[in-house]
Amino acid sequence: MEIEAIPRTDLCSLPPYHPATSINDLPIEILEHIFVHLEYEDQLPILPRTCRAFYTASKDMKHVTVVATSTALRVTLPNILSSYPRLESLYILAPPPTKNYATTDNISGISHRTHHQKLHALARQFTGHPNLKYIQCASDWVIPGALRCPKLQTLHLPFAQGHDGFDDWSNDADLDINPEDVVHFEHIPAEEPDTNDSEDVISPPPTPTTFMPLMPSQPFHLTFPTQGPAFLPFLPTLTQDRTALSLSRGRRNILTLLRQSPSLKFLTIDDPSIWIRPSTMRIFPPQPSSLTRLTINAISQWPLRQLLEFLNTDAAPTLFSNLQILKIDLDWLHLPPTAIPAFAKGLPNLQSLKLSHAICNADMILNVASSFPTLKAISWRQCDIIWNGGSWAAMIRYLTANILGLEEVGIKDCVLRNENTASGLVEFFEDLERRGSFMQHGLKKLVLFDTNETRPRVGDLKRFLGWFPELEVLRVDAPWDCLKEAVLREWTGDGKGLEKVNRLELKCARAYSAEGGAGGMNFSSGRITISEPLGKVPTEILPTVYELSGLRELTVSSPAELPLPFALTNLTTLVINFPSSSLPPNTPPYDLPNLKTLELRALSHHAHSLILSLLPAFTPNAPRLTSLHLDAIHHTSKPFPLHTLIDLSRSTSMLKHLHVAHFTFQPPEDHLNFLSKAESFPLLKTIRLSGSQALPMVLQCRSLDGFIRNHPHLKSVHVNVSGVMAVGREGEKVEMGGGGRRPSGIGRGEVYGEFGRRLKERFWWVRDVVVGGPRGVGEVEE
Amino acid sequence: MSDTLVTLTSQEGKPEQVPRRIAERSTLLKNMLEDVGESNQPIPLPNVSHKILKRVLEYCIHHKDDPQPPSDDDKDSFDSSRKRSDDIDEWDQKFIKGKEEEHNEELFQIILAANYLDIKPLLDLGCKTVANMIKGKSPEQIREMFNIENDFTPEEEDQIRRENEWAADA
Repeated sequence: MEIEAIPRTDLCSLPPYHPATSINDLPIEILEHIFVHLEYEDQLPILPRTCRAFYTASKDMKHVTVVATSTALRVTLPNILSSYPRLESLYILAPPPTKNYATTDNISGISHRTHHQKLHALARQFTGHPNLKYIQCASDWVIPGALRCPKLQTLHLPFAQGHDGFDDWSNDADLDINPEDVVHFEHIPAEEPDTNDSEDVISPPPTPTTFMPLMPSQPFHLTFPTQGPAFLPFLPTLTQDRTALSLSRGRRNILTLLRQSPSLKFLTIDDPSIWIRPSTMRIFPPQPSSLTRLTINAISQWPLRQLLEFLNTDAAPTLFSNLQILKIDLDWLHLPPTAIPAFAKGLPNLQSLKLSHAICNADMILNVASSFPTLKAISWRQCDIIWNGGSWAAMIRYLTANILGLEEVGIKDCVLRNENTASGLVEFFEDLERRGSFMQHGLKKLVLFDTNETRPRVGDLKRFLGWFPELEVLRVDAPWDCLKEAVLREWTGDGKGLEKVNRLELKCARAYSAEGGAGGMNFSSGRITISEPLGKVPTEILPTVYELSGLRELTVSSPAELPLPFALTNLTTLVINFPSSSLPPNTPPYDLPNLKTLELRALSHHAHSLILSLLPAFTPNAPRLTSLHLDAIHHTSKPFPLHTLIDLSRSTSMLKHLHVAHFTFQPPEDHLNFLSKAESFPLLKTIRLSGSQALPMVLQCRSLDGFIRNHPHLKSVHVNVSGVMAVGREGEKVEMGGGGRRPSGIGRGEVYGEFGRRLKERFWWVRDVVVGGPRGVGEVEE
Repeated sequence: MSDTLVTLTSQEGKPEQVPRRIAERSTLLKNMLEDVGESNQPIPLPNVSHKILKRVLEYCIHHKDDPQPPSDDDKDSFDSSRKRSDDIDEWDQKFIKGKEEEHNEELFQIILAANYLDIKPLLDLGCKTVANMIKGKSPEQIREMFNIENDFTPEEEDQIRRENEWAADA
């Protein structure tokens, strides 16, 4: 039976004016646009069952996430995707490895092995889709199907466990799959397949594959001739009895993917492989690919060597002619000296280079500066960098002096190492000094996080502001002392140097020390040092309050003293990590009219009192605050006073997200009664009360009902409790979990999980309700 | 040039004058104004009532300094594919809520107008709002909320249930 679809309308040809008074007056295209904002669990089977218009629109959905549950495997992925003929983006996810009480998916006791195997089994069912542009799946088995998607633009292949020994998956009873439901593949060998590696033999060109929508029961034919691994992504393999042929999993061969899928624009691939066969390269030279961003994670030595070899061939600039962003995680490999020249040769239009977990040799910075004159962004993350030019500041100066268009430099958690070899850098910097002031540079974003002795000094900050007047983001591992009034005046020039900076983060936990050292740079030893922190610290302290009007986001760590010496009126985000002293009780509150996010974290057994002393300074005059995160990082939990909660609610009535960690709310009745009032945080969407026994009372079954019912905007509730009370057979109260009695067969953690699940069932509009027990028992994770 | 006034005529024929910069939040009007060049001719908007036009302009005025949303080609499809409905700005939430008694009706008309005038952020705002209303509800609850008639025959309902059986606990 054919269900009559609603005809699609063209808005431009609508009759003169037809006011929409009901959702059914909206054209199908708009209904689709509404449904796209819903997640898969909210799409099917609800929408098609609502009405004819919804049915039609849901058939046109463009985005879906399929979780590899037993049901999905039984129905098979092609069947599921047949419900989405216009699908453009597909996520294939493994089911959660542990029981998740917050969702309705009750896969109890699923083993880790099965969890991955289900993902592979579902990915293996994928046979392509004519309209897909985006695929994310951790299983290699998705690759053959992905290569059959003619419009594919983005392929994301994160790493997944469980490929080894997976071939017998269909015999695994746990998977609960009917083998008859699984797509069978039939291999028809090409005429005289040529497996000869000889350069003299010319292989026939590969026949382009055309997309064929597949029904599960229909076999399809692979018509790839055998061309060697670079051009044959999925060699059919014979099973033992040679009566049936099955498709082997796809290879993570970057070159194959690009060749077979020329429309691909974004590729993220973990643990890739790269093969080059010179013989076939000459016969089938690569065509330009559309790839603009390539992210490679955890590459191993051999594929890296292959990649660099390929980049040195004449074919690479053609294949990668559109590549602008390269992110590569070397998994602590040595970056070969030839790497940067190879990147420059093979990636002619590269604009952003991001390296992580690499060990970089002494020539790397010099090579980057000389090879990439048009680079816009460069970053290193957790790399060992050998640089003979002195400090990080000198390195940044060297890079910006050579790459005039550079906009972003990022150095995160790297180790700077010096080798005493002559590098010619001394002459370079002397020449710069001779030319007088350093030419100012248009760098906009500078991130420099280093926790070692090579971390930036105050003097470096002053230089950065002098060198880079266009700087908008400055995030450095500099100490809190830089914000002390006298110091701030020195390095920012009375705040003027920060005029264009809208995001400032000072991450260093150590205090500033006015250690000596001559000002300026010292070349006498043959090495350049920019180590002078500040020069002479001014002794005269002016009671100035600077107007840093451009500042929107401020993050400081380990402030030894508060308040801050400048106005914070335009701040939208303030993060204070690990203050070492509390504020005096009568400190006037800050005026924070635009603040939306406030995060306070404190360490040690004073953590709780530190946070409670800071709250009255930052929340009373912050009427727009929507997100508050309070984290007392200590193994004990201490009380959160009721009057503080009441004050908080009065002053921050717009609060939507409240996260409080390692506090207890007692007496629980008073706190819950207050929170249950509709006027207490009326717009609350997310609440997280985590840590050991955040709600230390034994909950009555319906203790949280009033709170959830009176907060209609709630989407997420995560709380830790010390126990759950239930009414026993004879009306007595029975404590469940937390060491108390519990029904036989139920683990302690499950009591809390079950309680959360029941709450979720009762308040179905809340997206997740997670209840954890005391520490170690189903505790709510941060 | 961006300070010149543009006259928009609503479906009822009532004129509304706005700075060109505000009108150009609408891609339709922006393209139209670029094609026409300097002209004092009013632009008729036969698909938008005056009341809704004023609401749309209120939105455009509030968001006049926002960067133009990137075209689909420029977007990183990694992010654009993750459609979320829980990231609505505070002012937008209040704006789209409008008057309680005519909330739904006005909401649908704003969505239609945003679509016609090609104001993508406003269209997204409207659609996210409706998506949030649908989220977590059963077909019966959705029908009740939007006053939708169940126009399936019992046989069709059966068929649809069978079609989507796989999704029941997937």
